[in-house]
Amino acid sequence: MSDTPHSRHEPTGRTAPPLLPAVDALTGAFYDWLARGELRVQRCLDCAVLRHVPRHLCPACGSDEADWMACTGHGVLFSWTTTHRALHPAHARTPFTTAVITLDEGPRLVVPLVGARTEELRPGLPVQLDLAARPESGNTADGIVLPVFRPTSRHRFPRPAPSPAGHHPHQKGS
Amino acid sequence: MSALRDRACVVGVGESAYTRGSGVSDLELMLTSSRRAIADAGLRPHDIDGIMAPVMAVSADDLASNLGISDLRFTGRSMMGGAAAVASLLGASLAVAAGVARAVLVPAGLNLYSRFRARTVAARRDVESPLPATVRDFYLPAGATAPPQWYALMAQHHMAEYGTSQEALAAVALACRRHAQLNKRAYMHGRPMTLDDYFASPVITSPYRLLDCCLETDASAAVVVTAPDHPAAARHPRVHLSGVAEGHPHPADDIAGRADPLAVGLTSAAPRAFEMAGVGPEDVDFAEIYDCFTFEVLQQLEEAGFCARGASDGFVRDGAIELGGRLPVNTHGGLLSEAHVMGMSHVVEAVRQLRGTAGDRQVAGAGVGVVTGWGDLGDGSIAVLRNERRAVR
Repeated sequence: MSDTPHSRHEPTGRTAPPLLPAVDALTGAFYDWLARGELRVQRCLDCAVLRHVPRHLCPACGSDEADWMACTGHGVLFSWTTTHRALHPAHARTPFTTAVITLDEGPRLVVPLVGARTEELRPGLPVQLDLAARPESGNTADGIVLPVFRPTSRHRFPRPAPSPAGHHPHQKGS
Repeated sequence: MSALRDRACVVGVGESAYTRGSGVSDLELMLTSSRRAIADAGLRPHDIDGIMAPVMAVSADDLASNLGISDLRFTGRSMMGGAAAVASLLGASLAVAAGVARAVLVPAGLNLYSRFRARTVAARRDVESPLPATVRDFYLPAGATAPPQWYALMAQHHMAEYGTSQEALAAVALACRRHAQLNKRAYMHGRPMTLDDYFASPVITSPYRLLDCCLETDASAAVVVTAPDHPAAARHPRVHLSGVAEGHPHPADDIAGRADPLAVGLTSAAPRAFEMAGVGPEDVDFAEIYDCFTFEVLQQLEEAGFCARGASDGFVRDGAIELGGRLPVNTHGGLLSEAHVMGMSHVVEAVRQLRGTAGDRQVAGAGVGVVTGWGDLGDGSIAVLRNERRAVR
């Protein structure tokens, strides 16, 4: 079975321009906050439900009024996949881990997870945002900060003081 | 009783060759399967007056213009990725039941090896992605560029939550491969697989190994749908679309944001389809389950109600999903071992089983079959088909 037709097309290993979000509208606001050093998620001004990914309307109550609430950057691991075979040249360095994490505030995000040993991966593993880290896959670019997480280590990565919420003028629609 | 129960039949089926390297365009591939399906129904192209167009690459007008369909009066297109083929049967059923069209052509498939690798389509810059903006803005930057990574996030959660084993994933791959040995059309015909082969295959993205992943092939299949009283429905043993439904998880565009992380489109669609058909999962003789990756078969067995949530590991052990077992699954070999036909080969196989023409892989006494579709972060579709051997209760 070593020569299945599957195996004829090995990854080329070449690098490619990074895969980046379209930083306009609501997505742009999310990434702008990250570039300014904060992880924020939308909070409905009518029913206070938090949401990610960014939306124009509150899925709970339909309101179009929302602001961006600062999160602590702490959460726990929900699920993960460790990619051993490059599936896109922008993420050519393997292995790398992509995770679903649950923020302490509630919303779940798909994020790059760095600095984790395979054997420590488990649901509920404490993780924290590391704004200085770059994805291990190599997908990185100047000017864009991705929400990279790593297993929490209070010795090396002290817990940051939470930023006060709601200080910034709320952003409607776009 | 549902207004749509048994109001439509699949009266013709057809396929292109299933290869890697078709040497022809997507349109030519689709014309081959379409012509064969129309001929199988005993019809001529000008008898077709409705088309449910495929997800990508070819439009209804492309097909009608080239086939010589001169009086096209109904068109539609389902944008649900691998769930679109079965979901298109819903549109076709509505059209023929309402009398808007008399014979609807439903083709699917692509040059998925030569032109559009499924693994690359989300991140390609040269084609307009059919996937939602959330994938571009949050999944692709995080490294989740391809379907095995998105669905691995579901599989890993299920394995941690319920103790689902790698051996259960292997059981799906092995069943499909064994069935493919009975199907000369299958790309993996003549290439059997053992459990050792499975565990020797490299990890692509955990928990998926190479042999958990579907094939990429150049292939197309098509069907023709009419009302039961159309003359074409009398050519073969009638295969009724007894129940058909689509469903969309909420939110459809973000796996991570769902209140129930394992709920998919099929979770809501399956009860509707079974109710429409007047049967339950326990009445089903075989199931053709969209098998983009092995875990998605386990998940759909659970969400369609063939077993309880978390119980698929036990369900698939000991040959239950193999021919001769209590619910043969993917009797043609599926996407894993026959070919990737965007879900339509599953429909074709179900029709052959219900006509009694599946040859060496015929399910004895088959009367009711289920086909599912899966696509785009968990959209789902399901059809319950029956022949006239089995009366509905």
